[in-house]
Amino acid sequence: MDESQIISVALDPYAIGAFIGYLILIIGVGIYASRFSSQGISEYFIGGRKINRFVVALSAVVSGRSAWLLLGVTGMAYAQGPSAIWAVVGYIIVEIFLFIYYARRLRNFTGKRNCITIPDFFAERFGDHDGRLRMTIVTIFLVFMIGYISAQFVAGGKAFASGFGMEMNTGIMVTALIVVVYTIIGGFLAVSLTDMIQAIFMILALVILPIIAIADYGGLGALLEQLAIMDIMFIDPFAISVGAAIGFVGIGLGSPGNPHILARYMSIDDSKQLRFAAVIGTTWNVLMAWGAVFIGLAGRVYFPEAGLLPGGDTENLFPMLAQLHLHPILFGIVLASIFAAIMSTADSQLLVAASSVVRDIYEKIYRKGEVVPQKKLVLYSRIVVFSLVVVALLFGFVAEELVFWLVLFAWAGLGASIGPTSILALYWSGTTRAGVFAGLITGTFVTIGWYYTEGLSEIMYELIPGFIAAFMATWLVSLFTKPAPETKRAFEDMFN
Amino acid sequence: MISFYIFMFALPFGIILLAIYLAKKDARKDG
Repeated sequence: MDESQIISVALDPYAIGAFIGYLILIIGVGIYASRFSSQGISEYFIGGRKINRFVVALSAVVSGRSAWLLLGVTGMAYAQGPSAIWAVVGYIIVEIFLFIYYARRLRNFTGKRNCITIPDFFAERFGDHDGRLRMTIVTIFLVFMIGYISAQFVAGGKAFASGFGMEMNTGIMVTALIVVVYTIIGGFLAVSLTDMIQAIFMILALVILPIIAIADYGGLGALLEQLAIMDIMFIDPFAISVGAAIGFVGIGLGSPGNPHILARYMSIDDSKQLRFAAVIGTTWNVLMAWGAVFIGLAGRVYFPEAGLLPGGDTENLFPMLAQLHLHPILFGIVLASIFAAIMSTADSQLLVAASSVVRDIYEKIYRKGEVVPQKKLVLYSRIVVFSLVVVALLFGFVAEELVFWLVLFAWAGLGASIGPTSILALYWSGTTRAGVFAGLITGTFVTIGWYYTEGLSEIMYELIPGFIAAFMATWLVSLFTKPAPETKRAFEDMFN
Repeated sequence: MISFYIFMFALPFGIILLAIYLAKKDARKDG
């Protein structure tokens, strides 16, 4: 990859200054949040259920959007035009319903039963006395989350390499170091507040850049005229096959199954405020997504051939277009926004994975029935966060192929296993523990099996059949098994 | 070209309006 052009601007003192300012800000937030987060593991892992609605809204949407939105969707719109909209519309609409309906029940139940993690929720909902259901979910989480975190660090390393000319492995280490510092010190509050700051950086970059790039070209009319001359596909949102469009929209089915998003809903101070969070979160989601697509469209007229981008890689469009059109300070913000997207996802995933180890395995299984001092649990949580970063780094360096394999299935695997089972657990009193087991196993295996069965993955994104199969399995097995009396009572706790 | 304008301008506004509508409906339910 030819990185010389990006490096020449990135090394501008203004750009570096803007980027360093951003880093100081997020580390400062970590220090600010440390006192609150040290009180106990409820504070450390879900902000003591005292997080403001605005922070929850932004944290929930940016935790779910990794660098995929900034680099992947812009590249997709560059390659195929406005039909890239199909890739964003599904998750945005699904998340409206999650905020208003799903999240409310989840927050009510987890608040009443003092659940800190998603495995905690399932264990309480289904009276999991032997801990087998809890362990199954924790295993699924840890397998996918380690891969996820590792992939975020690798993405950060690449961004440092292309943005600052840094050696890739050093970039990976620096990304991990920044994330680990503020996550260890400040826990959930720091992660949520930095997510909010990162959401502001991301929206600034995604809204300002297309406006300036389109204005520089002579306005929207001139842009569309040129795009139509190049290929009518670049102005046609329907230039996509039906199967691909359904698959893109189906990406949204992953949101209810990804625990780093769900933890945000559990953290809000008042469940009624989730409707406010829905409007703010949706506005943010829409502006970021459409901004990314407009960047792709504008990029096509400035770089008519992908070969004009560094390495011929469409994922380099975003920083290249920013370099071409923005003042170095704004370019520094664009670079920071790429790291913001990566870090806001990595920090949330890190905390969720750590909470599974400390809360679910240590406190609820290993020390079951004992009272463990909160200060001790927070200390262990910090040690586990650090250890998970080391494990994720080792995976990134030693087993890069395994990491890519895990990430390939992380969004879909979690979405297909946790998504349908949690929806039924929240909305159907007849759901049983055996049904949930069936759903978890079916969702995971159908997702992976579909992908590897020749011809099927071309027809549809594996998350959709995985989700439907898991939903059916949970429902059918629940129909033929008897729910324990306590699970019926637990269902009542969903309501205010 | 019309479909472009619908997808790139009307649809995002429509989605935000949907969120506002559902939020208001939820608020009415709570009284």
